[in-house]
Amino acid sequence: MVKEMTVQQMTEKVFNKESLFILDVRNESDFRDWKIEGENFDYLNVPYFELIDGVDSIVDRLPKDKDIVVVCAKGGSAAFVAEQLTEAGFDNVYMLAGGMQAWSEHLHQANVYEDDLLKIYQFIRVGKGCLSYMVISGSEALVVDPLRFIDVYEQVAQQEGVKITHIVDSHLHADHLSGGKALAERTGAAYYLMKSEGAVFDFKPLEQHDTIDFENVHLEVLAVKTPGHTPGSVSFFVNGKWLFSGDTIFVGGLGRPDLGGKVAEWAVDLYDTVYEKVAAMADDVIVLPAHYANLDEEINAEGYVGDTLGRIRARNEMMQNKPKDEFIDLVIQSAKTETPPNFEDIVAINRGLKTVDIETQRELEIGPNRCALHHAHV
Amino acid sequence: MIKVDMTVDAKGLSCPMPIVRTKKAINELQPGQVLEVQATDKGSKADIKAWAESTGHQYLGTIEENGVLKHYIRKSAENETRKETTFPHVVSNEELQEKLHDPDSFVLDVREPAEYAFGHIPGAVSIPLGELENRMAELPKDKTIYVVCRTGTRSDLAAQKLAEKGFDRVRNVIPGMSQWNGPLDSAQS
Repeated sequence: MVKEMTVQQMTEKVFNKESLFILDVRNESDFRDWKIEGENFDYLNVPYFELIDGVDSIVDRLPKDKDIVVVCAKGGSAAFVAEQLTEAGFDNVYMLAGGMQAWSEHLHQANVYEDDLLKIYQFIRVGKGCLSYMVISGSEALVVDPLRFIDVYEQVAQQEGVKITHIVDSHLHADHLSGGKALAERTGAAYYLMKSEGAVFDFKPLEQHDTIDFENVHLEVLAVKTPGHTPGSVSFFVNGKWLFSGDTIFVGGLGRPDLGGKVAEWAVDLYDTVYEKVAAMADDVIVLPAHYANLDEEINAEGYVGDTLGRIRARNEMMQNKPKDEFIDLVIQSAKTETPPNFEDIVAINRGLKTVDIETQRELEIGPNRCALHHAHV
Repeated sequence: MIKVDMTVDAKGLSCPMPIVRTKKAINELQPGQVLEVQATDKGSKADIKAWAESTGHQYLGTIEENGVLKHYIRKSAENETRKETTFPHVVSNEELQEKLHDPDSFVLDVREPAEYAFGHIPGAVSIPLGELENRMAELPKDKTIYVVCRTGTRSDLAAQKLAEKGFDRVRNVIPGMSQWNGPLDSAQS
C-alpha cells in the first residue's frame, strides 16, 4: 500500500523548511519548467516511462534517511512508481496525491491581521505564487483578486459567518484566471474593476467609485488608481493601513509595465504612481501584493507575504528619488518581450470574451510559476 | 484517416497507462511500422514525444479529433542510420527544390502514410516502400522521378526497384525529408 502525502501536508513542509527528497517522474521539459520549490528539498527527475519495467536504475540514487515524495502530473504515475519503490523495500516513500495539478490549485490560508473589528486573510497559491485576500468587517466580506477556486472563499465566509458583499480585481490579470465574475454571480456581491481594462460583462466600474462602502463604518476602502503594470491598475487602501497593491508594488520589486507592448508610455504611468500616489503614503503602511516570486525571501515572520512600505522603499532603489528620465530608461531597458504562456486566452477569458471548460482552464494555467513571470525587480 | 499498422486505444486512461500500452504495442511491431495511439489525457502528447525521443523511436505527430488525441509513432530499426547508398543517381535536397516547378518532375514519397501526413513536399505522391512493387503502374515513365524518404535509405531501395522495372529517369533524393527546408504540406496544424 502506497502512502499518500496531501498538498496540504506538502505546503506545511515548504513553510517549515523541512528536508525532503522529491522524485519527480514527469517528463524532463515539464520538470525544467516548473517544480515544487522548497528551501531544503533535493530533487531527482526521471520520467515514469523510463521506470515502467522497474526501478532498479534509480534505487541507488534515492536516500534512505529522509522522506521521498514521488510527484507526477496528476497522481497516477507517481502511485505506479511509489508502489514499485515500496515493493523494493523503501518504507520512506510517499506519493503526492493529485500531483502537480492539485499542487497548482491548492490555496494556503494565512492570517494577516485580526482585531475585534477587522480580519484579513491571505490565500497563498503556493504552486504558482498568486495571492488573494479576504477582508472581513462586521457581517460582510471583501474578496480581493479572487482566483478561480471560488469554493475556498465561500467556505471561509461560511465558517466566519459573513456574507461576501464586495469583490475587487486590482487589474485584468494576464497570467491566471480570475474568479471574480463567478464569485459575484454565486454570491450576489458587487464586483468592481476598471472599465478601461476591457471586460464586457456587468460590473461596477472603479472609474466611478473612489471608495467602496460597507455597512460597518470601520472599513474604509479607497480605490487608488495606480496605473503602470496596466493602465487600469488599482490599489485598495484599507483603513489607511493596508495597501492591497495588485501587481503594482511587490515585496521584492515593482510590476512589469511591459505586457501591453507600450512600455515607454506605461513606464511614465508607473513613475507617477510611485512618486505621486505611493510616495504620499506612510512608511508603516503594509503592502499586500497579488504575487510573489520567491516565497522563502518574501514571506515574513508572521507567515504571510507582505511588508511595510518603508522597508520595501528602502530595499528598492527605483523607489528612492530616481529622476524621471532615469526611471523610465531603466524600466525600458529591463522590459521583456516574453509574455506569460497562454496570455491571450487568459486575457480574453478574464474580459468575458471567451468561456472554456474546467479542463481547458486547468491547462491554460498549468505549468511554470506564471505569476512570477511579470515580477520584475526593476 | 492515416494508414497505420496497429492502433492502441488508451482513451479514458490517465498516465502511466497510455505509455504502458504504447510500449507493449511497439514491441509487437516490425521496424519501420507505424503505431497510432488514441488517448484523451492531454498530458500524453508531451509524454509520448519524450518517451519516443528517449527510446529512439520516431514520433511523427499528433492530430486532435473530437477530443481524442491520435499520436503517431514509427518504430525505428535497430541500425537506422543512413547506410551507403547503392543507387548511383542521386540529387541533393536543394537540387530537388529547384526542380519542383519543372513539369518534367515527379516526386515520389516512399515513407509510411503517417510520416507523409505530418509533412510532405507539395504535390508529392505517397506510395510506401512496401506497396511500391504492386503500384508501379501509377508512376509515369516519361518524367524524372525523384524518390524521397526520411534519410535516403528507403528511397535508395525504391530507386533500385524502379530501375529494375525499366524506369530509367529515377533520382534518389538525399538526405531527404529529415533535412528538408523547402515548402511543406501537412495534416498537422
